[in-house]
Amino acid sequence: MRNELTKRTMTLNLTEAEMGVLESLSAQKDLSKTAVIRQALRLYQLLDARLSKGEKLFFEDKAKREKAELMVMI
Amino acid sequence: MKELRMSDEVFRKRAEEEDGCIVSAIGLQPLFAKQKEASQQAGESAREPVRLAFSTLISYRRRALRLTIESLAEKAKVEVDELLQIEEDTGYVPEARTVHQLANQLKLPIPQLLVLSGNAKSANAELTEAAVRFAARSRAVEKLNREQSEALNEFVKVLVEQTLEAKKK
Amino acid sequence: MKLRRKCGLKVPEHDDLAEADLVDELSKDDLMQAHLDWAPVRLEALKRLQEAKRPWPEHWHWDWSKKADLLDLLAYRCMGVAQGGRMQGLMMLSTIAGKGRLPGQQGKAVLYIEYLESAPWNLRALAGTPQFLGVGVRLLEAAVEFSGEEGFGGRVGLHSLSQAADFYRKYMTDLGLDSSQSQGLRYFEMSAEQVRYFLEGRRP
Repeated sequence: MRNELTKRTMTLNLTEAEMGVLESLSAQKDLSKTAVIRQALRLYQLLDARLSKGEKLFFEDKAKREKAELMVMI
Repeated sequence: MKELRMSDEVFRKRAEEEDGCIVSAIGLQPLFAKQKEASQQAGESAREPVRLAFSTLISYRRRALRLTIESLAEKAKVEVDELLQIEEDTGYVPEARTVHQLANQLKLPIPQLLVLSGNAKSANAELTEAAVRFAARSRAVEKLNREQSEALNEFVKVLVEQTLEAKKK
Repeated sequence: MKLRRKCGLKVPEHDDLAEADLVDELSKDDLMQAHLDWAPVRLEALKRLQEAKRPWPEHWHWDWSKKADLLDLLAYRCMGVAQGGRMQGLMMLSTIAGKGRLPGQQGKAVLYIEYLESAPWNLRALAGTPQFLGVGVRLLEAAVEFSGEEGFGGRVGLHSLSQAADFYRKYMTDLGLDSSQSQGLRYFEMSAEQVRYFLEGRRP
C-alpha cells in the first residue's frame, strides 16, 4: 500500500487570456493544466533563488551572437 | 494511467540483467550553475572524503574546546565567514596561512592539516584511511556525543603520532 | 525521509526477494549519511582495484554533494532504496531539467534523473558478489512511476558515462555523446513504448 504524500487544494481564478495561455501550454507540452501550473511554480522558485543571490538571467541568440539580460521582477 | 510498476517476475529478470553492470547516472550541471573544467572537478571530487574529514575535524575540535565560531575566528585572526565556509563547504580550500593559524589555536599538527585541507600533497595511505574512517563515523548533531568524541580523539591521535614519527626522521 | 512504498530486492542465488523500503523526499543530511556509509567501502574497493591494476569506475570523482543543495527547490527531489538500515541506492530527480529529444516526444516534459548510484557493495565490479541485485532497476522503476504521477507519461531522461551505458541501453534509447558538455556523458531517453517493455517485459 503506497503512502500518499499529502496534497492540498486551492481554487485558481484566471482571466480569459490567462486561461487561454494555460490551455495552449497544456496542449503544447502534453501536460494537464495542473501540471503546467506546478511546473511554473517550480521554475519561479528556482529563478527567484538564483536572482536573489545576485545572479543574472540571460537569453542568448548564438546565430546573431546576441546576449540580452532578462529583466524580470520576481 | 495504468500503474507504472513491474511484477515480481519481471523484476527478477531485470535484476539478473543488472548484474555485472555499473549502476550510475549523473546529470549535466544543474540549470544555471557555473560550469567548471571537468579536470578541476575531478581533482576536487577525488578528495571528497579527505576534505570532509578536514571540515569535520575543525568543527568537532572547535566544539570540543567549547569555542564558538566567532571566538575561534577572533583567536585565529580569521574571518568568521571564512571559518563558516571551512566547516561547511568541502569544496573550499583555505590558504596555508589560515590552516596554520587554525592548527595553532586548535592544537592540531600543521603538516597533516595542510594535507587534509588540500594545501599539500601526500602519499600517506594511513592518513587517508584514518580520514575516511573519521568522516564515516561523524554525524551532524548539535553537541559532540560520546561516539563523536571517541572518533575525534582517535583521529587526532593518528595525526599526532605521525608528527612524532616525522620528527624522529 | 518518507516511506513511499515497500519493494523487493533480489539476493544473488536466492529466489525469494528481500523486503526493502522505497523512500522519498530525502534531505541533504540523508544524502550525506548514505555517502559517509559508502565511503569506506568505496575506498577499500579502490585499493583492491589499484592492487589488481584494474580501472576505477569512471563516476567516482563526481562531487554529488553539489547536487544536494538543489533539494531546497521544489523542482528537485531525492529517492532511495533502503534495506537492513542502509541506503542501497540513491536517485535525484528533476521535473524541470528534462525535455524530450526522441522523435514522438520532442519538446515534451521528461522526468530527468539528475543523479543515480548504487551502493558500492551492490556492484560486482567492486564487491565481487553483490549483496543485492536490482537496485538500479527499482530506482528506474520509481522514476518511471513518478514521471507518470507528474503527468509526464512515464518518460525519463538521464546522462551517463560510457562505462555505465550498458545498463541503460537495455531499456532506453542511447542518443549519443551530448555535445553541450565536455565530460563524456551520453544522453539516454525512455519512450512510452520502452516504458511498457521495461515494466512488462514484452518486446515492442
